[in-house]
Amino acid sequence: MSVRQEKESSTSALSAQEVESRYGIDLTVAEVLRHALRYISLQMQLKINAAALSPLLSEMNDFGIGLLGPRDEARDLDFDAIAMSTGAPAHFVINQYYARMAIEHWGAERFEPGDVVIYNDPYRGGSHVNDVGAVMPIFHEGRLMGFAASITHWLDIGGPVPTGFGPGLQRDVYAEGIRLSPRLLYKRGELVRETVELFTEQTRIADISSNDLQVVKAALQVGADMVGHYVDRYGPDAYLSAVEYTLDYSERAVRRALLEIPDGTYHAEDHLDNDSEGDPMLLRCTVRKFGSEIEIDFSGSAREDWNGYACQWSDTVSAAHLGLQAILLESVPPNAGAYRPVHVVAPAGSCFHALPPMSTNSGHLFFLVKSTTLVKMAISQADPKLAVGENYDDICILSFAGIDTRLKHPIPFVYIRFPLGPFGGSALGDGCCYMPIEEGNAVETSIEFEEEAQPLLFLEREFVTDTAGAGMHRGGPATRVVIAPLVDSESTYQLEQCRFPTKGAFGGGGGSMASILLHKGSLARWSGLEELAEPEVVAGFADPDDGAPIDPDDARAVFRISKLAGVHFKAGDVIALQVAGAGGYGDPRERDPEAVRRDVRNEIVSPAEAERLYGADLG
Amino acid sequence: MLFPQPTDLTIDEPLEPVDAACPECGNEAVFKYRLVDYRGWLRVTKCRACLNVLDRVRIEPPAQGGA
Ligand SMILES: [Zn+2]
Repeated sequence: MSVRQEKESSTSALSAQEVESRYGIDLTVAEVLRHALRYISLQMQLKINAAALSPLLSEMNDFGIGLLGPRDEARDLDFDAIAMSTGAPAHFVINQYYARMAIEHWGAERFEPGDVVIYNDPYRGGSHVNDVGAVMPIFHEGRLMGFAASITHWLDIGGPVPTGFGPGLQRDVYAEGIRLSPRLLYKRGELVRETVELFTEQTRIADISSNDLQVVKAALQVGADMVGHYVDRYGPDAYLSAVEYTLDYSERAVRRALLEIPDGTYHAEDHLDNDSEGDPMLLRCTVRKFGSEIEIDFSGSAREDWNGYACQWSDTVSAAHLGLQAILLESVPPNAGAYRPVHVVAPAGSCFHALPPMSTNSGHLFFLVKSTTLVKMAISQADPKLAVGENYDDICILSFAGIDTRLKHPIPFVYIRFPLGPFGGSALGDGCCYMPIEEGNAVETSIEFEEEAQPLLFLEREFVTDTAGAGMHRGGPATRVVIAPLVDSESTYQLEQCRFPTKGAFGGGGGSMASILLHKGSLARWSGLEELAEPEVVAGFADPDDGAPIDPDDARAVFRISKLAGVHFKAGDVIALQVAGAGGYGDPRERDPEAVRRDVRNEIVSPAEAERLYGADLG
Repeated sequence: MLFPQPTDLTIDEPLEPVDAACPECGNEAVFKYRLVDYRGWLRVTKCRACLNVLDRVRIEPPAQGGA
């Protein structure tokens, strides 16, 4: 039997006998512990949801939390991620680098029971400075059994820009906020005051920080305690055998799925709307797939650029894994085993592999999502049953910060919204209409909560007619969110696909482009039931004379950069943010006529477009 | 400027040709280059046709970001 054949036979499920002989535990124990690891990480997640003050943690799930194994050469374990909660997938894969590099930097042998080490340097295998990593060792009778690990997105991390996202304003990493090499947050269970003070003195969210740092510790403790419970019950050797079994289980599932993808080399190309000068950035991805191995290569992509137009290699690798996981038809429990069959080429100095001191805080969002989409677009060509139309590929941001002067005692506020958007059509059906991006899996905070907590009013959140890419299975439509700040505010916005529309797959059409429009001082008009003032383009194509929206094909059209920080809006301005519509799948003429009629009834498609694109006879 | 931006507009991972055929598939598309596996950076000698890895050396990253 050749090595290759052995690899492929290793994708089939193991018999009870094979489990016993390979891992020294019976199948029932192996499965009980495999599920227990996942369950523990979910309990850790609930602790954060229940106790955190930051809405990004309590409401949105912008964090990842779970368990790492120990270092044990004989068992091929090296602080690998063994279970992750269901929070934001952007925070799953990256622990393979972020947590391990922090543990190595601190020194695995230096950890004591009750310690928590905290870090946020993105150039140490991380994502961006807002993503605060933390690890707590798990000891059993003096033996290190692994770590509880978390990555939590901090609402504000100091630096010149509220919320930390400063495209165009943060030239390099030194302008991003506080950056911590690994250090103690808790020493043998005691809070280290000086570490907390870094957050209370240097961020804009002192109260949230002092609470949530303790919540992170409490959640890690839940993980450590629960692992301790299982180790007590089954013994340390059975526990570690089950860890090996759990990783191999996910690896087999991914290899099985990879065998289903036809061997070959597949290419995808896309653009980021603009670099820091306003020019488009070319993005390329080549996927090579043979047997149960895959290599994802971002060679040929644009060079890194200052002011936030680059991301960490670890982020790109994480995104490549997520793109693959997203396109596989079966979902695989996320752990290091699932990542074993994947190699990623991230050329140094490209926008997918920033070299210090490039700023990556904003680029974390742009390129994480772009690289996930590129992988999906490339693999889409391998097999129609895997293909998807392009989704809105951005973690969009609209933030507001300032002083809530409506109050008797004015207080500062920092607010960030991540509007959701639509997915592309696929062989299975129409694209979802309003979804978090794969990397996010995040819940949108409720408008009622936001209006209560922040000086903001939401005037509208609606699907927009004729924005969905046409197809046998159409893409999801764009959503428009209309917001009015009630006090003068400083904003950041980041929105992709304002220049290049989404693409369809296998004959499907592209969706509409995104934009941000400003209706100056229009809240009063809206309250008086009048029409809003004529819009001015904030992001997208504008008439150079008056800033009004213009057809992108008009020779006079100028592109206004779709990512910027330090933008000022006045109390009572009305801002309309519309995400891209998603691409369709398959020939629109093959769409079920009843589905077209339903789209017209739901105002997803207008009668005129139903006739033009779908040949519908609505008579 | 202390840390210049690359001058090339697009960036490729440099591939060093290796004078050997792949022992698995016989193809001559064998190169030495850098990539990331699930535990970090490797310098591999690898066949681009069948993805067989002929050799791998783990790259220990230097301290970055000012440390
Ligand atoms: Zn070969």
